[in-house]
Amino acid sequence: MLPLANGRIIMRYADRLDLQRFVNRLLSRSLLTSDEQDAILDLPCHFATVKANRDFVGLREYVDHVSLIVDGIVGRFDQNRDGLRQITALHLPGDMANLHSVVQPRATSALQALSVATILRIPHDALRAATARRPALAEALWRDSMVDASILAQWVVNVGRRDARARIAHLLCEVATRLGAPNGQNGFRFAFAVTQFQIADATGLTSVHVNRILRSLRESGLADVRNREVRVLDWRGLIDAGDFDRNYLQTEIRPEDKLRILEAL
Amino acid sequence: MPRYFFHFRCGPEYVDDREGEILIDIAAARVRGETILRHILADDVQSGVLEMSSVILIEDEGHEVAGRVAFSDVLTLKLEGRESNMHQCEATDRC
Repeated sequence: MLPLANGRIIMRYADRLDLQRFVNRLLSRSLLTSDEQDAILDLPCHFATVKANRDFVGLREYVDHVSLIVDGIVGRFDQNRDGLRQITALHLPGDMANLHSVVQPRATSALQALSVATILRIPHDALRAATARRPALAEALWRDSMVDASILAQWVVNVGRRDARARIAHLLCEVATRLGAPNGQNGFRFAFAVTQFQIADATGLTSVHVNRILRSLRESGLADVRNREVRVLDWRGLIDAGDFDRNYLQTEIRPEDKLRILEAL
Repeated sequence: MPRYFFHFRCGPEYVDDREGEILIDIAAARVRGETILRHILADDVQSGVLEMSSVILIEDEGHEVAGRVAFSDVLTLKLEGRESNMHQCEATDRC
């Protein structure tokens, strides 16, 4: 039943738009029937705002919901014995940041809002019920989790096999692509509300080093990163500097290559 | 806790730190400055060109200079097992 307060009704409509965005993301890689799409759109959810630098999933915490990022940037963190943190993933609007928690509710890494973030919380129980009778929907969610795994693998290559300049160029290319940058278009701008310190945590560098590299990228005419905004000046040059190949992001799946493998018995 | 700023200078290159980092005290800031410079020098080594004039200038919240970290503060060079800091090393022909 819809509550009477106007604001809440509007919010529910907005929630549905955000869920539609997630459905579209699933449809970019998987084939789903209208019933399966509706099962996502009808999920119960509630809207939450998280302050910048605030953990909303703690390390080893048991969670009973997933978090769909609506706005802002979220970082996945791990840390060493001394408490030194490393960002192991960036979650952008449209990402279901901890989809895997549906089947592994105990968090093995923390989630922190890097900027003010708005999220939709969706109960595990509802997702489990939606997928229990719809194996192709479970498959689409599984496939979405595999994109996160693919990104993580590239991040390992980034910190292990690329120098500082290439790491940052690669990160900028990745975020631009995930935010929908047309391939090869110079001048693409996107909000990137993270600090140099956070970029350093994501690339295994120090903030001063990041500062120096960003300046170098700007002076080389590749990208201008200022005031929490990125402007890609030379897309081809930035791709070369970052050794970036967008295939791992699986953003351009042809209709004939979209998959549907599992069917109900 | 106070915020410290870590500016980088290398010859004509100057990179201004406008974010800074919150640290317990100047001693912690100095340790942080040493870590920062070591990271930069390590990247230099990977690239094949080591710039020994690189320094980190530490400023406090009032933007007063609170410290300076140079190459010889963060690296000890050894030659045939013999330790030498950079100033001594620079004075010999062997380095």
